[in-house]
Amino acid sequence: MSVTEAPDRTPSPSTHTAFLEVHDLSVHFPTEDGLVKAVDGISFAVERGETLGIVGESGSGKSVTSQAIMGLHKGSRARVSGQILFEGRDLVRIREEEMRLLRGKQIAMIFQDPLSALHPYYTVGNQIVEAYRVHNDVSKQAAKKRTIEMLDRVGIPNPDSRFSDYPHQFSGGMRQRAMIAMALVCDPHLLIADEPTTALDVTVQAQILELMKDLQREFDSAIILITHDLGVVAETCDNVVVMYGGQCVEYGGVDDIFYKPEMPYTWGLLTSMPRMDRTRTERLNPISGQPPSLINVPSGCVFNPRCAYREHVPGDACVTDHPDLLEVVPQHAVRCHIDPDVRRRIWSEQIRPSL
Amino acid sequence: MTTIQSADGVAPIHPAADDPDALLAVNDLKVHFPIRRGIFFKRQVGAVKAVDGVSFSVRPGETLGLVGESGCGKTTTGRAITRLIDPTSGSIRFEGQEVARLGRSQMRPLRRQMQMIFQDPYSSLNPRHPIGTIVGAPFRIQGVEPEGGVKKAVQTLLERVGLNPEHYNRYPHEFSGGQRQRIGLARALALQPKLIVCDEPVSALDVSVQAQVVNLMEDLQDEFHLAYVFVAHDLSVVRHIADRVAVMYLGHVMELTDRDVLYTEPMHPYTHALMSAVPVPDPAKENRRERILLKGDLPSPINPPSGCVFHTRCAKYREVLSDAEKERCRGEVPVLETKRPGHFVACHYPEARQDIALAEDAGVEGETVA
Repeated sequence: MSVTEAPDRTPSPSTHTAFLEVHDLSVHFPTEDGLVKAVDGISFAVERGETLGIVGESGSGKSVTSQAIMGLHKGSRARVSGQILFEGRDLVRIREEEMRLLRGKQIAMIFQDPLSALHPYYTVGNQIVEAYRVHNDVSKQAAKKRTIEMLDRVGIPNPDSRFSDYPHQFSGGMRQRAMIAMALVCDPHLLIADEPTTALDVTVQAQILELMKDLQREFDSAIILITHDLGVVAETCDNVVVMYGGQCVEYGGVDDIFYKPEMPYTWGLLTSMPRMDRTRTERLNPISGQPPSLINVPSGCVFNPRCAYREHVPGDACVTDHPDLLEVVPQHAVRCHIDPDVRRRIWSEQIRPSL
Repeated sequence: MTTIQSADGVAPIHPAADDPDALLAVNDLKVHFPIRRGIFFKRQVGAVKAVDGVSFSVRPGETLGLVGESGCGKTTTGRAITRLIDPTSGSIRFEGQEVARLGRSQMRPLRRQMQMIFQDPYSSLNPRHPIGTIVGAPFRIQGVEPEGGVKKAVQTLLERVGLNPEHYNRYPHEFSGGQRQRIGLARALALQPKLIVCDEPVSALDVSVQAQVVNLMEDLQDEFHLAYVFVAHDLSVVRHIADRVAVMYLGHVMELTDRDVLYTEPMHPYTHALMSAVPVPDPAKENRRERILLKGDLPSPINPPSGCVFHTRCAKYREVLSDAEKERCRGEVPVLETKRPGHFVACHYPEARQDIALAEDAGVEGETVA
């Protein structure tokens, strides 16, 4: 697993290539108002059996990143650059027809809103059968058998009779299970889950996350979990990318992100959420201001207009220089001008006691 | 359980609603939505029992949290209080006045006293009106002429909720989600109400912005001595903002008590399950703690389970109780009764557990069952 610096346009020919490697991925959308830099130079890697969390607020580019991996921007006006190496192939450059063979078979996706992701006109069973038969040359009977197996596997009661139900006859949690069954029916090696539990109640969320962990163990698949909920990240992820304004601002193992975060934005996320596991505080500590516009991205550090720790940087480097994503220790990279020793001191003296 | 006859002598007042200082007292509130069949003669064939006998009270300046899963009736309860939905039966007393059966025009003067904020800041503001008109609407509808004119009052309000008063003529689409929620707050505050029913006011916002709005709501509460009924599904936000919390399930209040008691020693098995399901942002604690997984889905409120509505999914019913005890759960509806002073629980076999709620850091280290 490696994180390259943002300006590093030619990734070094490393000895080991990860299962999925994203190098300097950018997705820009030309619009009438200007160029929207939804994702701007993001790099990460995922191995099989591992879960990578991508966290950030709305508009931070987390969903666009996942859509780029799925090749969903092909044929649109979006400008995608960089590399997405999946089992040695570059998904940015392959043609739509090749992508279609991978999509659903090798790489599958679970969307946030299962009611709009499932087709209301077809039964749940038939939609899964279709997904299976597109990639596997089997009879309808065999596909149906496989589908019922999958529905059973994801915990839908009476899968035989539920096979011919329509999506509206399922509850929210069951629809999400059906989506997971559809995503996993071809045994994909990479599963992208875009806010899979955001629309669900906590009790159902706990069921679904448990299910995803079980299935990951069983199929040894890699999961990219996109979420804004740090609690979900703590529960499921091995590594975390924190995104802000289309950029990765901090990257590290889940313990580093929660116990030794160094980027002021990560601190802000951790301090602004009310927590069940700590003594109740009188006031929450929000990050002041609003998330940035992706058309007029702030100069210098993308977080600088909302950052409360700029005084620790001499001069106005925060406003003028764009900081690089630098590794502080192996597997933990931070995009910030503040001196690493000062950051660690702020974290241990000011932030952690206030959590 | 002590039952006191209400003034009109019809229904006994539930102890949870029996508070002489209460600003709002809801007693045995029921909201059933009829299901009709047939083309010409619409026969009623059943009812969705969205709210089925809910009692609680809210004091002036207090925040009552209503939590529960979707479909538990928390939103319907909030809307019945403000009379956006007509209650089927039960009483809603606001400052001692019965409002459950008031007509539209009789309700209007009361709307100065109770206002509402909605979940979705995108659909709760009319896109064709500038925000000055939106925030000024309560003045016009109620025929109130504020000192210095409506425009001045609106600009003061906008400033109070942290918006630029010069944005008076801008339209809702020009604002972000957090700013729109502030506009909704300004509108609700316009007539200086005593009670605001907030229906998931911060659920649609990002964490950093959510904290801004929560802080603002607390400041406004202190400044104007507001009472909130705070409907939400996020237990950690409710713990932060509420003074007392009612946990709802399938139209019933399962547990109602002070915030600190609920989050340190919850007694109802449903509250245990709900709290253990909230993921905490701490990987080590996540690995260590026990999670009570609820099996299956919420039963249908058209045909709720017999006896205790929760018994079909209750972990305690499944794993701990004897057959005779199970019989009771299936046959007898548990009443919401006082188990400890100020702690109401609707369960035949409640148990105070300190290991569930991770309210204090010590909760993880010293895992003890009370």
